[in-house]
Amino acid sequence: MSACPAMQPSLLDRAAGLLSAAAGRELDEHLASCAACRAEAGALDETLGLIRLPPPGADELRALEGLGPDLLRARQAGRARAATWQRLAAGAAVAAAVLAALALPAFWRPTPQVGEAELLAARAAAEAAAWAPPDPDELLAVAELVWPASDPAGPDLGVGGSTRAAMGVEDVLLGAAEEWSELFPAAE
Amino acid sequence: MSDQQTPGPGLRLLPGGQTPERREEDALLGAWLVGDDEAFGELVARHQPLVLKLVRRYAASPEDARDLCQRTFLRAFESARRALGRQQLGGALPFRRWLVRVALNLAKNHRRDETRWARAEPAVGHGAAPSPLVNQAPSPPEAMQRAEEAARLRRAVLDLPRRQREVVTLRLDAELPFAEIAEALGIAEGAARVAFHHALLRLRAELGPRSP
Repeated sequence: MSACPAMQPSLLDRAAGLLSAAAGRELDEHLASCAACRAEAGALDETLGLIRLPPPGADELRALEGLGPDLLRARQAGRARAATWQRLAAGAAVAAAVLAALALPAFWRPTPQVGEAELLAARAAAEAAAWAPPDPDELLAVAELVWPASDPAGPDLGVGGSTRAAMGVEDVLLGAAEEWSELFPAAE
Repeated sequence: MSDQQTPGPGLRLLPGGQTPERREEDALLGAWLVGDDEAFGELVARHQPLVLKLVRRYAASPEDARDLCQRTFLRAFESARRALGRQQLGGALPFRRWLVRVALNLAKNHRRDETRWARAEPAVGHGAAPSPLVNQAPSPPEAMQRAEEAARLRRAVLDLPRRQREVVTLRLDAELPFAEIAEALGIAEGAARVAFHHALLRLRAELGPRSP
């Protein structure tokens, strides 16, 4: 037999101590006539009685004696430790600053402030000075490898295209060598 | 039936929403934060019973309970100091609410650690230590039976889902009104009541009728 579903919230509120006086009277009237709800109310009361803790015992209260002064001492010790660490940190910071000020002149070298445009111009001048025209003899030697002088007609590979291509290479290289010789007579 | 709609401290509300107790507490906290050690002692003495009520169900011994109380106060005071340093509360320092929250969190962690140890050492107890209120000295069978029953009841409450367990602790152990429970847990008052109802039904089903 279970309690009336409509009364269940009131029964739980009663157990939680939440019923108003009027609602309590109304529930009492119902309980007087409903055995199932009466049993449910009793079961809830019994459950609450089981899980409710008894008042703190003497041993529990004794264990808490002196808690306030102990907490105060713990806080004061914590503050003292924090202050010590702060003083140590401040001292270390000052020492580091003094050391840095003393050591700076020994390691510091002023570096000239060079603009990016000046840097690029200097790099271009260095590259121009290092540049030299290609040697025509080397180019001709390459041409000899491609097409040996002992075989003016070129190798007969049976492929007309390759021969024409080799001739074209020599012509180009010789022409370039002549142009370079005219442009840069000092290189000869 | 019960005429006490919200049994507990019975705080008297003032028009500004501040109780005299709350204003006194704010003054004490402010005094401590500027170095008044007497104010610190007064705050501890004032809240010590509440903190003990909150943690004793979770503590395996009176020394455990003292340790939890001590850590609760230290953390709550640290929160107050930081909050005042940031000036973020505009003068209102919810110290009591901090205490409740810190105590519940520490108790929960304590319970978790205790369970872990119990799993690591299965020979000790029955998965959870008996209540601190149980005499653990060698005792006749009847007393042993009572101790086992107390441990079973303790486990039943501590094994509730977190929200239900917190509401039961705050309502039954600390005897706080539901309005304050809701404020401390950051939930609606109705949600706190529903959590209590669910916890009660669950415990009723689990513990079963005692009478034949």
